[in-house]
Amino acid sequence: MVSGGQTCARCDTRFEATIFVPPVRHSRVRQVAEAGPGGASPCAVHPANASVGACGRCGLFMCSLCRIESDGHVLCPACFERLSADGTLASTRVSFRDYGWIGSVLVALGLFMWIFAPVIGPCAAGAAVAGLRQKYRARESDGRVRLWVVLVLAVIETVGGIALFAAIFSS
Amino acid sequence: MAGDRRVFVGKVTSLTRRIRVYETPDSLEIDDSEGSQLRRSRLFYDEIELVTHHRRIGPIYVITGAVFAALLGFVTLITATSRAWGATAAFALGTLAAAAFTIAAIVSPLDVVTAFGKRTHAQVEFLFRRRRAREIYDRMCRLARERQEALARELAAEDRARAVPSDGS
Repeated sequence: MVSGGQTCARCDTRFEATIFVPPVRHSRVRQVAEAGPGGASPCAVHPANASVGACGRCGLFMCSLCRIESDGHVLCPACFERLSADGTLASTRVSFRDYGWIGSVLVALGLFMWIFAPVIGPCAAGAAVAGLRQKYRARESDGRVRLWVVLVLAVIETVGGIALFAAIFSS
Repeated sequence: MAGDRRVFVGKVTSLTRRIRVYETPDSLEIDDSEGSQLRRSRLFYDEIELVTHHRRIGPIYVITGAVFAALLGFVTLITATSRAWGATAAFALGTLAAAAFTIAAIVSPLDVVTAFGKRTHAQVEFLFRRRRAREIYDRMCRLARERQEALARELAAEDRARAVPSDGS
């Protein structure tokens, strides 16, 4: 296959494709024997390999196979695992709660079930605020207007629901 | 918007999943939501192997349009038999609009842009926005090309540095 116009072999429709050949990174590991006596300290995990630095958290000597750079830190694999497990390394987080979706669903539920609005409204508002915080923190370009609309609707639902209950009890 | 780190590129929506793709300085980030949980994966520009742009009929749009056209058509018939001409005209207009949307979704299919990497892929769909799809396709190709050329230069420089003896002789 070459870049440009193509015809799908299955459905016979035309499509366009551009092919890339990504450069391959070959990591070259320097051996302790290669470095000569006193030339290098050995890696703590691979004693035959010369270290290229120390872990920024525990100070362990690391070879180029063990060295991990993440979120501005230079870490050994064990520290990387610990920090990513406790959520310190932001870029290693892959699972999030979708507060925008939760807020939208709750606000829609509140519109149909006014009797529960005093409970659903604040929950929807809370989810919308959490969603907005998520959007601003991640500096995302989309979805903010929708969350502001959800927040306003949630506040209206809450106030409306409380007013409804007040009217019921006062009558 | 200026200063945004994650710029929205496009999305794919099905009945159960919502996939949104964002552009960041070093990768495309793919947010895959199922219910309230969102999973994020990344496709780095220097790992992109193929970018494609194809067109296909979006079943969700055709089905939704057809269902709306059928429902509104049914209501139009009911209002017509009860001689409520104002409502009949309104529902007939709605039926026509839904039918027109369905036909447009069949005649002008979705534009789908996909970037394939070594581990994952990012896909975005555009309905009635062919120019935007083309822009995204060109942009993905340009970003992948620039990043891969820069990486190739960097690796070549590293190789040259290794080839030069350390004592300078």
